[in-house]
Amino acid sequence: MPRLSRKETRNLATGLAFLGPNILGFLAFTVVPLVFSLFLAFSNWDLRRHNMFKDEPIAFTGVESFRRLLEPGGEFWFYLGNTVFLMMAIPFGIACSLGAAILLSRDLRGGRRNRVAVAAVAILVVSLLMVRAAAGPSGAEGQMLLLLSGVFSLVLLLGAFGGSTAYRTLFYLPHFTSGVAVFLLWKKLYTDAGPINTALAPSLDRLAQTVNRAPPPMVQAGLWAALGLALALLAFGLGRLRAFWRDGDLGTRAAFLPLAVLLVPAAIAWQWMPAPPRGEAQVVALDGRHALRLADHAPARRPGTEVEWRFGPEHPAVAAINQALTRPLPVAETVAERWPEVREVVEARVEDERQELLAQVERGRISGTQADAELMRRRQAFESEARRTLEAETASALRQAGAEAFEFEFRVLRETASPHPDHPRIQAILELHPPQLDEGMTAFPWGRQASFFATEAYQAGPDAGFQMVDAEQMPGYRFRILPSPSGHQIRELRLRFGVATQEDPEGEPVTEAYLLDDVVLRRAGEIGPLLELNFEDGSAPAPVGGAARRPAWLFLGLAGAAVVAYGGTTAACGREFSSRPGTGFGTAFLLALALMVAQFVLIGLGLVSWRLPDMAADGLNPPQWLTQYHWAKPSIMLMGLWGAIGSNNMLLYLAALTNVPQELYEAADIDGASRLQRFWHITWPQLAPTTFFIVVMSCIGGLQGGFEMARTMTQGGPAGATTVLSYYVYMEGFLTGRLGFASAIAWALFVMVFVLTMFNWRFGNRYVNE
Amino acid sequence: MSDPAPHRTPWRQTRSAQAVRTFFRTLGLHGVLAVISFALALPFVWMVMTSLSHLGEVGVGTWVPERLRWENYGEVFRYERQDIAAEDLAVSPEDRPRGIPFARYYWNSVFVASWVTFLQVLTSSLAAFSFARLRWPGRDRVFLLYLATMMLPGLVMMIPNYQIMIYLGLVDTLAGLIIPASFSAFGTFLLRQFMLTIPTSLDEAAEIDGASKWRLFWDVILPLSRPGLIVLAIFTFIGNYHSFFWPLVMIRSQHRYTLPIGLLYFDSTRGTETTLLMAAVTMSVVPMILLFVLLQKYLVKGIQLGAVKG
Repeated sequence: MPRLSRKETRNLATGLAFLGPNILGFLAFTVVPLVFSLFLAFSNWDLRRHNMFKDEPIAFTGVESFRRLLEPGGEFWFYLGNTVFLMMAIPFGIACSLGAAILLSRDLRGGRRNRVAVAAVAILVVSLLMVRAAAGPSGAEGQMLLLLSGVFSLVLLLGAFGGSTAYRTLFYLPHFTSGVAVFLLWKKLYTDAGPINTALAPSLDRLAQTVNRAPPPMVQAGLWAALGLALALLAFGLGRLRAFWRDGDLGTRAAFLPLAVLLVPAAIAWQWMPAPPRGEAQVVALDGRHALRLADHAPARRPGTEVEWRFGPEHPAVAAINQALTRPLPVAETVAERWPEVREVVEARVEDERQELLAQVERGRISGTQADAELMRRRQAFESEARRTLEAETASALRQAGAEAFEFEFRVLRETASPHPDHPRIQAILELHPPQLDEGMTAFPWGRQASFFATEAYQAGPDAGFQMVDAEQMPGYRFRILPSPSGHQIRELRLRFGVATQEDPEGEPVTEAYLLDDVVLRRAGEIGPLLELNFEDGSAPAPVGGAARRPAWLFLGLAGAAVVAYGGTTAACGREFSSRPGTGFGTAFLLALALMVAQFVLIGLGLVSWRLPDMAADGLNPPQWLTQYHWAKPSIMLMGLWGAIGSNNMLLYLAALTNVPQELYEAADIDGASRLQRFWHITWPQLAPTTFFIVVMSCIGGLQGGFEMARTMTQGGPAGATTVLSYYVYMEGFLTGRLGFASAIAWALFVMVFVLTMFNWRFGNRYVNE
Repeated sequence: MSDPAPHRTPWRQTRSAQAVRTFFRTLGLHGVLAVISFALALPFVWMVMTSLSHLGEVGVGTWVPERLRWENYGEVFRYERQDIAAEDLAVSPEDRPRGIPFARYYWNSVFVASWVTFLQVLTSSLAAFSFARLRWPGRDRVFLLYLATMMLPGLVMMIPNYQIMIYLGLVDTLAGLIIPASFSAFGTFLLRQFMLTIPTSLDEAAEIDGASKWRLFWDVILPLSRPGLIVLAIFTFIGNYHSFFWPLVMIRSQHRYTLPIGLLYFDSTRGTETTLLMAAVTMSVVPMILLFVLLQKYLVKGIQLGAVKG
C-alpha cells in the first residue's frame, strides 16, 4: 500500500468519519450477511438438526444443495415455472402503462374557452347521470346505479377541473397503495360472494344460453380463426425481421434471439392440448397422475347436507398410499413420546429465566406482576418453539427414513360468518380404514384451528396408520400426512364433507354457510394431484379432446413452412446493406416479444372457444379465482394488471414522452403521416430505450416478487400453483428451517437476476447510445 | 364580367372549426380517461361500501347498505384482551369484541417507519456527502462495492440477517425492524447522485471562508439537497409502512405486529368478518392515499429521476 501523505490521511479520516455510521450498518447488515449466506449455501445448516435440543455438527457439503436444487423435475423448476408464468403479465402491464402515459400526455386543456366548455359538458353529463339514476328503478338495482353514477360523476368532475394531474393521481393509486391491505381487498373481491363473481354470473348465464343455441362447430371454428390470425402475425414478424436484416438495421447475430422469441408459440404448439380422451371412464389421467371423474357424484350444495366420496384399495391414490405404508420403516419417535424429555429442557430454561427476572424484581426494575407476565410469555414462547422443532424433526426423520408424505388440501369457498367463533364451522373427515378396525374406524374431525388439528392427529396417529405432522391454514386447509410405521393397509379412503348449518344470534339458521372447492390429495413435493375432487361442478377438469390437436399440428406445420420460405428467399436474395453483427437488437427484440404475446393471446382465446360448447352445456359458472388450480395464477396476474396500468412505468413513460422532440412530429405532420405511423415511426423508436429499461427492470422485479401476494392471498396454493421463488425461499428458510438449502435458492435467484442485469448493460447501453 | 368570387377559406380550416375540433378531441380524451379511472377506482369503492355494510349485505348484488354502519370502524378497535377476567368471558357471544388491537399496530407501523426514515436519511446523507463532496483514497472503490450490493436480491440477505438478529437478541423487537433497515446503499446512491448536481464552487467558497467540512455539510449541502432528502424520506417511509417480509419473520408477539402483519392476522383469525376486515383495510389505505395526494409533486419527480427500487 502506498504511503499516504498527511493531507491524504486527514482526508481519509474525514471521509470515513462521514461514511462511518452508514458503512458500519452496511458491513453488519449487507456485507457480513452476504458472506454468511454464501457459506450457508454450501453447508447443510438445518434448524432441525442444529437447535436447542440437538447439536449435530454443521458440515460443509459443497455444491450438494445446488445439486439437489437443480435436480430435473424438482420443486425448484416447478416454482420457477410459476414465477415465469406470472411474469407473462409484464408485457401487458407495460403496454397498458404506455397507453395510459400516451393518453395522459395529450393536451387536455386546449385554451381557456375550451376548458370552460369541457367543464360545462362534464357538469351536464353528471347532472343527466344523476337524474337518470335517481329516476331509475328503485330498490337494490337503483341504489347501485346511483352509487356508480355518483362515483363516475366525481371522477369526471375531478378530471374536468383537475386536468391530467387528477387522472394521473387516480391511475397511480392502485400501484401506490399496493401492499397487504390491497391484497386482502382483492382476496375478498375474488371470493364467490365478491363483486366480481356476483357481476359475472348473470352475463355468463346469458353467454351459456347463446352458445348452447349455436351449433358447436360454429363456436369451435373460433380456434381456426385464432390460429389463422396468429399465423398471420408470425408471418408479419418474420417479414419485418427479414426486412430489418436486409436493410442493414439488424445484425446477423442480433437476429437470433428475436427470431427464437417469435417462434416460441409455434415451437410449443404440440403442447397446447394435453388431452386425455373424453368419455365416461371413471378414472382419467391428469398430468400423468390420476383423478377421478365425479360426474355422477355432483354434490348438493345445500347446507346441512353431507357429501361423501369413497375410494377402494384399487384406486391409484389409495394404492400409492398403501405402497408407502408397506415400506419398512424404523420406528420413528413421535412427538408425544419425546415430549417429556423436551419438557425438561424447557423447564430448565424457564427456571433460568425465572432467576433472572427475580433478580430484576429484587433490584426494583420491574414489578412482580410484570415479571409474572413476562415469565408466562417466555414460557409460552419456549414451548411453542420446542413443539415446532420437534414436529419438524419427526417429520424430517420419517422423511429421511423414506416415508412419503402426502398433502391433503381443501378450500372453503363462501363462508358466511358464524357468530360463534369457537363453533366448529365445518366438518371434513378423512377416514382411513385399516383392516384391523372393522367397526371402530378412526376419524379426524377437523375444526377451524390449526393447532387443534395437529393435536388430534397425534392422538389418532399410530392407530390410523397415519400421522399428521403439519396443518396449515390457507384460504382453505392443507395437511401434510405422513404414514407412520404401523403396518396397516388402507382398505377404504373416505372423504366426507359436511356443510354445516349455522344459527345466527336470533337462533335462525343461516343457510348456505359453506361451499367447498377442489379437494386435492397429492404426494408432498410433487406436482399434480393423486386425487382431485372438484366440488363446485362435481367433475375433474374437462379435457380437450383429440380432434383439437389437428389445428395445433397444422399451425406448427404452417409455421415451419413460413420459416423455410422466408429463410430460403432471404438466403437467395442476400443482404443489401451490411451492418455490424450485434446492432439493432432492441427494436427487433421488442417487436418479437410483442408479437409473441399477441400470438399467445389469440391461441388462448381460440382454445377457449374450442372448449366453450362443452363447458356451456351445463351452464357456465364464474371461476373460483384464487382457489382453483388453473385460475389462481391468472387471478394474480389480473390483479397485477390493475396495479400496473398506473405504475412507476407510466411515470417513466410520461417523462420520456415529454423528451421526444416536437420537431419530429411536426415533420411527420408535413409528410401527412397517419396517427398510427406517427406512433410506429416516431414515438415507439424514441421510447425504445425507456421500454428496454422497463422490460429488464420488470423482469428482475418479477423474478424476485410475488411473495406478498402468495403469502396473503393463497399461501402458495392451491397445490403449489402460486408458489413463486421468493415464497419458496421463505418456506424452506423460515418455515422448514433448511437454511443452507434456502440460501442456495436465493443464490440461484441471484444468478438469474445477474444475467438479466448483464443483459441490460450489454444491450441496453449500446442500444441507448445508438 | 362579374366580380371574382370573394376568397373564402373553407369552413374546415377556420379558427372556429379548429376550436370545435379541439373541443371534441379533449372531450373524447376526458371520456376515455374518466372511464379508465372509474374502472380502476371500483375496487376501492367496493372496499368503502363493504366496510359500511352489515355482514349479511355482502354479496347480494348491490353494494349500497341499508344503513351506513360507521360503527364497524369502531368495532375494529375492540379486541379481546389477553388478560381478560373470567367473568368478562361470560358476556353473550354477540357482544364479544371482534376486532384487533388496531391502534397498537398502527402505532407500531408508524413508529418503525418514522425511525427508519429518520435514521436512513441521516446515515445516507452523511455517506452521500462523503462520496460526492470529499476526496479520499479508496473512495471510488468503496462506492463501487455499494453499487454492486444494490444488485443483490434482498432475499439473499434475509436468512443470514435473521441469524444475526437472533445473535443480537433483537428477534421479536421493534428495534430489530428498525436497525437493519436504517442503512441503505440505495439511499446513499440516490443522495450522492443528487449532491453531485450541486455546483462545486460552493465548496470552494465555503473553504475560503474557513468553514469546516461539517459546516459545509450542515449549512450548505444539506439545505440544497432538500428535494432529494424529501424524496428519499417519502420512499423510505412508504416502503417501511408497507414492509411485509421482514416483520413477518421477525415479530412473534401480537402486540408488536406492524399493520401489514396485523391485517394478515386479522384475516387469518377472523377473515370471515368481511365488513370489519374492509374497515381495517380502508383505514390502512386511506392515509397512503392522502399522503400521495399531498406529496405527489415530489414523488413523481423522484420516480422520474430513477428513484425506484427494482
